[in-house]
Amino acid sequence: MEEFLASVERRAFRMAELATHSSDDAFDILQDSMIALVKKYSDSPREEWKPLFFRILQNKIRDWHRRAKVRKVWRSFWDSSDGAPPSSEPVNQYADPDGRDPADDMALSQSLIRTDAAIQTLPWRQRQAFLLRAWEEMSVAETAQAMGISEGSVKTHFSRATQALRKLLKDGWDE
Amino acid sequence: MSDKERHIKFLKQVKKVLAEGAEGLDPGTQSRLTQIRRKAIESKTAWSFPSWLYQPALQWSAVACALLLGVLYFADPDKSHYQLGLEDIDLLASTDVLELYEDLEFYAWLAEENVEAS
Repeated sequence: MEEFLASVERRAFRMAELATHSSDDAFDILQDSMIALVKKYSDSPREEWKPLFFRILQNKIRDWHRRAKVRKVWRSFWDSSDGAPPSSEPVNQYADPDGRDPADDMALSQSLIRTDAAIQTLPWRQRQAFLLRAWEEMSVAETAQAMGISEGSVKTHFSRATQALRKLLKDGWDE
Repeated sequence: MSDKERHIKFLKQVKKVLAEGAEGLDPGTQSRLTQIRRKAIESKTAWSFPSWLYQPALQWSAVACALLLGVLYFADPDKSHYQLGLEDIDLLASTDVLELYEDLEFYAWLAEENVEAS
């Protein structure tokens, strides 16, 4: 099991990070997903671990989005009742919400930054369908199982995501 | 180049870039991933209270408390003290008592003045 987790942890972390825009939240999601897999499915056949793990990961990401939506509604309610702008501190308007060091970003290749930014603009279902199909190379059926949606929906989300990304990234890459 | 070939080439490029990002994680991130993985593996052997028991525990406690109060109320033939309870609440809610406590200093001063005057 440890070998399997080691083989997927980096990609799973990046998927969670792209979905949440936060390293800390991505770590939490990954930890919860790994613990759930180990506790519930350690005795399952090895070939089932990958679809099960990504199913758990997708569920955790979906839960995170739900909680974020609720937080956003509450925040907008309180902000409007206060009558004050969300962030009146000028420095907050320019600070990186993830608190990353700009030097770290400099170290990443430009294409990675552009790709990350493009992927983050996608609606989350499109993004997850794209990452599971294109990066994890999961089949349509496996992706549908992992996301808990129909195979037709996976095809639609994947197609729309690919079209959007090609449009966003075409200037940088030779097509 | 056909559209299908361009599509495949595009997907390969994206995959390559994403793989580069995953492989190029900084040592701090990699170290935390290792910790998370080990913690997950250890959770298999660590004993934990069965989730089906503790998750709805709060709801069951609330239901049990409500049932207990109901049983106590209906099993008691003399319900007059429940009425007294309501009167107490009414008394506590009265603002007159609070005003008296707030002005206690004034009444003490008034009493002293009366003593001196007499």
